[in-house]
Amino acid sequence: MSASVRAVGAALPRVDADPKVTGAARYTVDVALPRMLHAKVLRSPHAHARVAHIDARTAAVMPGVAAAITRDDFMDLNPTYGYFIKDQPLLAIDKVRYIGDMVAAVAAETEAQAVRALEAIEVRYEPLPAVASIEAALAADAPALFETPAPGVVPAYGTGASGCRDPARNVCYRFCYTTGDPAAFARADHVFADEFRFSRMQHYHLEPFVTLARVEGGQIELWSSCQNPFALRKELARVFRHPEQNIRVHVPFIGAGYGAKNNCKTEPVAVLLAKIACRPVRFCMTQEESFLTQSQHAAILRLETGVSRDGRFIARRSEILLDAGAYSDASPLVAEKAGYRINGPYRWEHIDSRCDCVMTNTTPAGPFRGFGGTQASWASESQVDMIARRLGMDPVALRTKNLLNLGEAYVPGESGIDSDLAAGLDLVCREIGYGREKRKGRGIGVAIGFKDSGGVNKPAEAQVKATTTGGIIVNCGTVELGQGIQTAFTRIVAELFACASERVSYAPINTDVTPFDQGTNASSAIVVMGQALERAARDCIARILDFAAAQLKCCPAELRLENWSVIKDNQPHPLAPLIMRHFGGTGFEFVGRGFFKPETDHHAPLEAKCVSWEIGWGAAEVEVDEETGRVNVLKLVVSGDAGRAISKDVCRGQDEGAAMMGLGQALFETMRYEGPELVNIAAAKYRVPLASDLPETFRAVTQEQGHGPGPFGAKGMGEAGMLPVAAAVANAIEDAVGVRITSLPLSPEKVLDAIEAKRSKS
Amino acid sequence: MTDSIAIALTLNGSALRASVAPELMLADFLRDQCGLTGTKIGCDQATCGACTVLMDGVPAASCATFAWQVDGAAVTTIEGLAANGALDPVQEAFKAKSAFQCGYCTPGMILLAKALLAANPAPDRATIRDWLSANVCRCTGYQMIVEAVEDAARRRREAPR
Amino acid sequence: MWDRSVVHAKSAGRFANQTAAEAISRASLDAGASPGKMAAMQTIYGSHSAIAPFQLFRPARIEDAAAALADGAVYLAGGVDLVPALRAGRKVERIVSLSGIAALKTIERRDGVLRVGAGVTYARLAADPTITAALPDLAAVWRGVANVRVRHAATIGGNLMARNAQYDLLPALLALDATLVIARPDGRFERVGVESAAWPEGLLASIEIPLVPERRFVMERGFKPVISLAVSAEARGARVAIGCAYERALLRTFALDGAPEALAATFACDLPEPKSDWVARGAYRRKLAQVLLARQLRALAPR
Repeated sequence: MSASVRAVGAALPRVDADPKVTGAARYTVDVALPRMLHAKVLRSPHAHARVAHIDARTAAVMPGVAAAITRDDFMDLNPTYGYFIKDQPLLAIDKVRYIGDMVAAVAAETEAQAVRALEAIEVRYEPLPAVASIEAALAADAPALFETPAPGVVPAYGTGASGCRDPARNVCYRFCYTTGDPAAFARADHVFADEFRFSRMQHYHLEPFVTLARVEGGQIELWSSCQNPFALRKELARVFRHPEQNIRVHVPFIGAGYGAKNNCKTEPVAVLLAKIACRPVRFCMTQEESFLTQSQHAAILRLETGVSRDGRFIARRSEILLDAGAYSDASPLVAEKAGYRINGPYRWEHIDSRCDCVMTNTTPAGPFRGFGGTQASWASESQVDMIARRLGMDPVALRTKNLLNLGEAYVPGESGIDSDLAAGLDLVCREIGYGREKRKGRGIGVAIGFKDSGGVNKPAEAQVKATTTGGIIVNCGTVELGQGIQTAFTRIVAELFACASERVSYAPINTDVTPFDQGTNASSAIVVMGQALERAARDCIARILDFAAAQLKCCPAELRLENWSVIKDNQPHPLAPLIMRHFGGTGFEFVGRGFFKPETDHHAPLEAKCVSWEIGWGAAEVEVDEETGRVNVLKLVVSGDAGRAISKDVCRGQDEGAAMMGLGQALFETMRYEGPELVNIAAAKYRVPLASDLPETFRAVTQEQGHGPGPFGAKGMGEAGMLPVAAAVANAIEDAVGVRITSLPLSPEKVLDAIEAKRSKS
Repeated sequence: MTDSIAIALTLNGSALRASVAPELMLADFLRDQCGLTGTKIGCDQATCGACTVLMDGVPAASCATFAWQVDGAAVTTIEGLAANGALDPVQEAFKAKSAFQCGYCTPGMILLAKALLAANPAPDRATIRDWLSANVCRCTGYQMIVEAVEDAARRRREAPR
Repeated sequence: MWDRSVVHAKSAGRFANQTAAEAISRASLDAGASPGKMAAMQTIYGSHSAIAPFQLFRPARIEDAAAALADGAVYLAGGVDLVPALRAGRKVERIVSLSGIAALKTIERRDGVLRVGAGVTYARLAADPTITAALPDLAAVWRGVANVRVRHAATIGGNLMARNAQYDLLPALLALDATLVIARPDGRFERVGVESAAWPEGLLASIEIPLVPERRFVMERGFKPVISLAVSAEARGARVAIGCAYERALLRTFALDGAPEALAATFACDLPEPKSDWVARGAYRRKLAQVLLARQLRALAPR
């Protein structure tokens, strides 16, 4: 391949650079339609209450109001939605279950008129006792959030894995995984039991939840800031009893999601208002409402880990309790991941993990970057260091002793790890200067964040079109939410077509014409859709070569494609003239299709071997002010293995962004609940990392080990950078001042308390 | 009904007259009335800076500035940077350094950087971090944005506009 | 803005057959907070686009702005506090913009006093040549307050009049023994010490800071929102004001007649209990007060 067409790994700008640096990029917030109405919702002030009475009739006739809806306006809808469990109502039906639960909605000419109308809605609540924590929800006398179970499914699992609904009051789902022999615990020289607490963040995507919906002539059409438009379409079809082929979802650029923007958020309310008002309706939430719509899962993780005296990992039993909030949302999925990833990238003889989704009267928790892996890595990588110190071993040596080898199955029946774990660990240790002399009050910690990537048993389909003059159009359902997937995919296709990357464009997403995709999540785009896309590109090229061979009266095998010419015996034959000669002046388009799905495999615990494994190696150097407890992160290094970096800048940016999110969680960022009330709701009070929080030295090093299943050996990126940071910082604090903090955030007050407790003990 | 206020401003270099309600926010004036949707609403609480525009060269939160408050001012939005199809050096730097991901904070960040370099053409890293702390980016982790600002400073020195 | 107090629906059945608003008010009274201070639990989240219409008055003179108070007008300078309140649903019928009043923006040094107009922005407080010459320590501290966007919009008058325990100007002015000059609605100007519990109603016109020879000023802001500490010191002694840790910034004065560690220990020990909230416990705030004051006093110690 000539160097001039090399796209993969080249230092080229992102394909979305011009729109984004000029302000021309269009997001759902920017889409407008003539006669568009503005929607606002009324939310519950109570964490748990019966809705005794609600009346929106006065609101419906106020100035500018085109529709005012409550549970009385559901007609023949299926009024609840969800992932596995359809428990979340479009608007409150019998109860409200958290402060912020939607009870009514209005569409009006202006937002101000919608707000005035909401103020006129009468609601009478009968407050009920609320549970705002995992412990409160599990107490013997805890009120039940759901009196009767909502309809839902438990997916099929393979060997060792199982799931069940409602194993206990206020537990909507339980995932279990076990392998090996429990008798292994008896062989351990030590069994260490420790409990960890993981905090709760809000995604803080800068573009709000927003939808513009139009219902006209039997067609439901919407523009939505949504990561999984096909799943959304299916759910809307079910809720509105409306044929899928008459629902069309458009997804422009998304102003970030980090997992929040999946399935139904603003869409059902917008669609119902649009249906009743017979005009397009825009429902755009404020940032406060984001905090009342979706969050990360807080968790309690109890690990019992059996090891030999020389530091070999033998057995682990874990009990994980996730705070799922008031509705199940994606909690069953998160439970699967937490329960599956808790063991980290290590070899075990016996694993027994259980993860419960505990319902509380707080914001529903859902997918948040690396979910399950964030909680699991925090607990597991903290405990690894604790075990090392108890055994008198170096924490890096303990890890190295137990790391899985490249290609070794994660657990029986599973795929092999596709990164050299020891090589990555070695890299971050060198970058941080592990083992060198340190000043008093300074410490270094490492951690390995770990998750399976590629989704579960996930299908993907892609299409590639080539025009007469060699314009290539990539058509697939992966959404650009900042992760750079349009750049990666267009470059992969350019590489395969041996053309300049400027010749490849990315088609807009419209569920009528875009091939199916399950959703943009799980770091799966490169390894799942990427494989489908590579097949689609090769299929397209094959058709082109077939055509050219017929024109040139030779075999396709004698031809190769380069710069929109076919090369035969080192002679280029431009394709455009060949095409027009055969098809006429208007020319033609060649279309290729590709499909990928891992094979269903009942021996694999999750019903299919994991397509790939995403590893985030991290190391931190901290300085602890022993008088105030303030932790200063002097140096933070994270590294992910991209397999093959399609774009180095994209890979670096994803890992650095993830790492700063992890740093915020480690040090200060958290949703503060006092009882069921969120006291630091939104920007003015909710601290997120700023540029001033950058550690003095901060680096993401992208490895290209080359073992990935994606095109050119690529692997998924974007989540693992977050996973090791909290544990690395906690480990560094222990190295610096000899105290172990097992809950997040690692606030100065907590650190000082621990230092003083240690001082008074000695 | 409140009285409309007549305003006269310079918007992206062009003179503009308008009549605005007192409660009309500058962000809505720009996005809805002038059709300039590059300015984004993020937190809507003057904290995240996604809505940043320049008022007489100074960064201002357009979600918390009333339209009448720009009477007599020169307002610059992201759309006002490129001239004759050529990107501003700050835009070129953000593009070259891929100092963005979802892009939602990017117009505000670019304008913030432009104001910084106008006030201080050769800022050190600490100054850049201090200025950039005015705006939230949730995607990039800031490091690549810092490098883009350094690159923009170099571009401006080499080809001043 | 105001501090949000917590509202819980504490037990079932107490509020049967009431509207949501009634239930909230009753709960807030039960929670022990005064009705004036409570913010009702929000049920509607309006954006900047839903701000209720208001009449705008743009006077050019202090006297006209002060007189407007009689009509229930609300002042707008940088809007840092008023605009979020309007967005959160506060309905204001008349807003008086102060931006056109040149007399609020004057800065003057005369007879050992620095007088700074209430309409002076943070940026000017940090960089104006008269201020950097007269009170370089204060200017240096103020360079780091907020961010570049806020610094050009927010005014020192707005910072004070927001009565927000997190804000920095009150602790700084307490440490600097400042006086407020307030324009009353009837046209008179009244002076009151900034530490006075009640400020007369009116328009804050200017702030007067005495220029004490050899007085040095430092402010520790790096531990906000847990605590902030403003310290001025000169031969006669120190003035220390604590922000963030109480409902209103607290001022203490003492002679510099001991080692920094001993002075700080006594100071912290004698403090009333700092507040415990979701940010930090009172005990931690007290510990920080001691540690940070000792560091400040060591930094201020004559060489």
